[in-house]
Amino acid sequence: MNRRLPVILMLLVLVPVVGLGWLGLRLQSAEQRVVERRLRESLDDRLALQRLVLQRHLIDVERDLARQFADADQWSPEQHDALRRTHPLVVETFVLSPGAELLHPRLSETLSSRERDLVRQLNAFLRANPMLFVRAADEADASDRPATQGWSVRYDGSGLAIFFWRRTLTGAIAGIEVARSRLMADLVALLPDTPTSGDAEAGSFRLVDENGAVIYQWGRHEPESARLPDGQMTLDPPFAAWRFEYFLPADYFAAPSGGRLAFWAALAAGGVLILALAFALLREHSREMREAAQRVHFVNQVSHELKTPLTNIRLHAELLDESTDDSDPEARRRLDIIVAESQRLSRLIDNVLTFGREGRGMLTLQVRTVCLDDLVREIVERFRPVLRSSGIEIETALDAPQPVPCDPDAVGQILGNLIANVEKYAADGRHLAITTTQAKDCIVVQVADRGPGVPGHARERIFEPFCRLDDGLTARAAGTGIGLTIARKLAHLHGGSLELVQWQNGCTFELRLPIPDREAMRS
Amino acid sequence: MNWNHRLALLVLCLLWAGIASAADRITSTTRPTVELTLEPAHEILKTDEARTLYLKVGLKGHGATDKKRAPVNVALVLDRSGSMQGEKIRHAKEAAIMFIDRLADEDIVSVVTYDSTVHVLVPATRCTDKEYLRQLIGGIEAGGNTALYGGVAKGAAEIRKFHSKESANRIILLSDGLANVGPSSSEELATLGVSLAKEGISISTIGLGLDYNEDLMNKLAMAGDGNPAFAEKPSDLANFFDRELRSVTEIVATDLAIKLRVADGIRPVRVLGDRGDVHGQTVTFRLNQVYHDWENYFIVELDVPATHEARKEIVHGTAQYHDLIGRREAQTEARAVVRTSASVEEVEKSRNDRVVAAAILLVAAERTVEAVKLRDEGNIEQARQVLVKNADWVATNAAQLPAEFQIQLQSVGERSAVDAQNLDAENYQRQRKVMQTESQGSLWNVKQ
Repeated sequence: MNRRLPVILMLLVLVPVVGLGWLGLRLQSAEQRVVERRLRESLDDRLALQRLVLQRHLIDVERDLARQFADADQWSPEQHDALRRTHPLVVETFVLSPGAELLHPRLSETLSSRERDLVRQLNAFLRANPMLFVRAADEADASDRPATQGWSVRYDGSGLAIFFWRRTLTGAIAGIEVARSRLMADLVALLPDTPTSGDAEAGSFRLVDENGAVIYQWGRHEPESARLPDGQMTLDPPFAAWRFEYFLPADYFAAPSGGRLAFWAALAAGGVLILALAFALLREHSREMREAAQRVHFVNQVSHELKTPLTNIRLHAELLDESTDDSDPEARRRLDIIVAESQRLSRLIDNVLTFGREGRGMLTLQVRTVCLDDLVREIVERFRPVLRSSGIEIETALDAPQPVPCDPDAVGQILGNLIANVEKYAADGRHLAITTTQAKDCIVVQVADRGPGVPGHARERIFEPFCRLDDGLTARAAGTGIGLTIARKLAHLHGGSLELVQWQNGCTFELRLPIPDREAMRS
Repeated sequence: MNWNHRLALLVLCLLWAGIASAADRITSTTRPTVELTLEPAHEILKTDEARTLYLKVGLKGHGATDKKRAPVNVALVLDRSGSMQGEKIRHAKEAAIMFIDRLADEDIVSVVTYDSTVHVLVPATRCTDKEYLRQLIGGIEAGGNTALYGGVAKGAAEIRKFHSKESANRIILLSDGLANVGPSSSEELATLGVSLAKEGISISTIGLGLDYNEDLMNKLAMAGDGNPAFAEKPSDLANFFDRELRSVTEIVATDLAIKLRVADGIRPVRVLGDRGDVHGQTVTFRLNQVYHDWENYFIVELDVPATHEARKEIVHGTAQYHDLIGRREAQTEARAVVRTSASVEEVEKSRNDRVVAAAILLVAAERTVEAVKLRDEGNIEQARQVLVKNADWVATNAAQLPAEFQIQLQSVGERSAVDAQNLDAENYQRQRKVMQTESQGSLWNVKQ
């Protein structure tokens, strides 16, 4: 029993601590996920806002260029030159007839490198936008005309070639080659900068071009070179080749370390508290156990102390009993009482000592080969005076003459307790019957009375220690409640049993002692 | 006095006021802000002899005084990458603070610093609280990569906030290394420079140390007629910032468009240094700004056919510009006239030494640029020969000039000789910066 308690206590400590810890971690990670999701949403929102700002700028540029080019096919070369000189986004201007002839610029006989570049770009532009140009025969069908203006963005091998074109009133296509690095610079001007003080963006954001090269970046974080972005967002077409990318530092989503620390500290404190309680409980328990052990030990000691004087009393009482004849009936009577009472006292002490030894696991049998009938007779004789004075008639039917191995003192204790019980509780029945029979493999001894019996529900309870069925009105003698407990234990030690086989209108206890094999006996 | 008399008096008064103000206006335009001069190398040509004639087109500014100058709108774009740590950033900060200290209250300044990211340290603001600006600049720390493109883009955005035709708009870019974040090729940066120049924003570049890309920085500067500079040591920075300050506060006119109409029969061949366009009989140039008391010039090569006209106007030039001092659009014009003579001595005496010296300077600069190209391609020996021949040619041609020009051209010849000796791998990194910056500086008349 002493083993179980620490185990239980340990479970008592571990289960809540581990359970709370696990729950706490689950909660934290769930919270973490929520925080992460919200932060990501906020990030995406902010990027979407940046994208909107850039998109608006591009729309403004488009509107400005469209307005400028409304009648570009009517311009003189000087007007084209003027626009080229003054508009920051214009690298070259061009005008193509509806039939895709180059109306402006008029190319010189031998093309300069700049002109060659332009021709190459325009050829690519034509190839990319065939639907803009219709053959002369189809010109009449005005309703079929596609869009009137737009960007043409094409990957040129080394980078994006960006054109803006607009269909003029006469159906010609006028447009410009856009200065890509100026357009990019204007977008960069609209993006946030990175202050060196604390309130800069914690992540790293960048605008990335068609080759994946960074155009511009902002934010405090410096990601390692090979890292993939944590998220990206392309610009709207036709500039979808450019995109935002962002990188987040490892601790971007981390809960502030203080919170985590607090959680673990609280858990540890709780665990320590529970552990302390468990230890207190354990200490309390072992103190109580020690006190109980002390009490038991005390009782045993007392009993031992009592035994020696009692043995003396009994010895002398019995000697005196033998040497006294019936000439003085009063003396005889008093002597009988002394003997009987001292025998009872002796029994009580034996019971207590046996109980104590049993509790310490030190109960053993001293086995001798004994004739059971003789034993029964002897015990009956011993109790005869007491029973007679209680008015109990004794009836015996003994049929077990075969000597059997048993501990006579133990069997004597069993029978003694049974008979004492009859004297204490079933005296009203005025009858005690003891029978012995010998079966093939065991000896059966029955002790029956005609007392009040035992209620059905208490049949097993009477064998439990310290249990006394107290019928208040007829409570008579003091008892310890351990008599039947001892008796059954001793029976079990023999390999036998003690059962209550009849409990209404009187009790019949049946003691079974096994007879071992003759062969085993001999050996 | 009756009413008739009073009326007559009134009319007379008004008339007088009108004449007086007209006279006043006439006398007040003492000197145009921009002076255009057309000077042929020889004013007298040999009769009936065709020849090549160099024509110097000069533009000189006037009108700025200590009390009266155009306000400036300047963005300082400073490199604070890791390589700038230590002496470099310290001197840069000192130079920047000194620069700002000497600006006036009406001037607008902004400061942009960049490493891997860009920080608009001082958004465009008037120079009224200089102590605060000093503190901010003092707090700059170095470390990181080089987002040069982003720095220029943000600097341009700051200039545009207070962009005005009435102010001199300039970005001053300092870098000590290679741009490696954002577009980093000299073509892309040059395109950006050209585009900013169209808005009247010029960029001066200061390359610090031996590790910066001089092609990128020089092209960026030249796209808008800014000044490219090579500062070899951090202690040189103060000088270059000072030069920039003087340069930007002495701008008197911006947005110049010069057109030359060459007389029929005479063929304009080219503009030296490729700084102008020839379309038939018309030659056009653009210039972003002219400075007070500093002449910016071009040299046009003309093919003059044999003629015996006693006097001939060969070129009529006009320059349109924005006058920052007078705050108005203005125009000026000039004509170039030559005479013919059969006398060889007269032709010789009519030689304009200044023009010849300028032509020699520019041709030498062109040849230096060619030598750099050869050396870049790996033709060390060819490059060396070009430079050696150049040194000889300069010496020979300078010999016929008076002493004062000889001295100036002597250093040009010597430089070429030194360049020829430093084409080996060990010295070329530095020498290339010297060659490019000085030759392009000559070709583009960088203000000293």
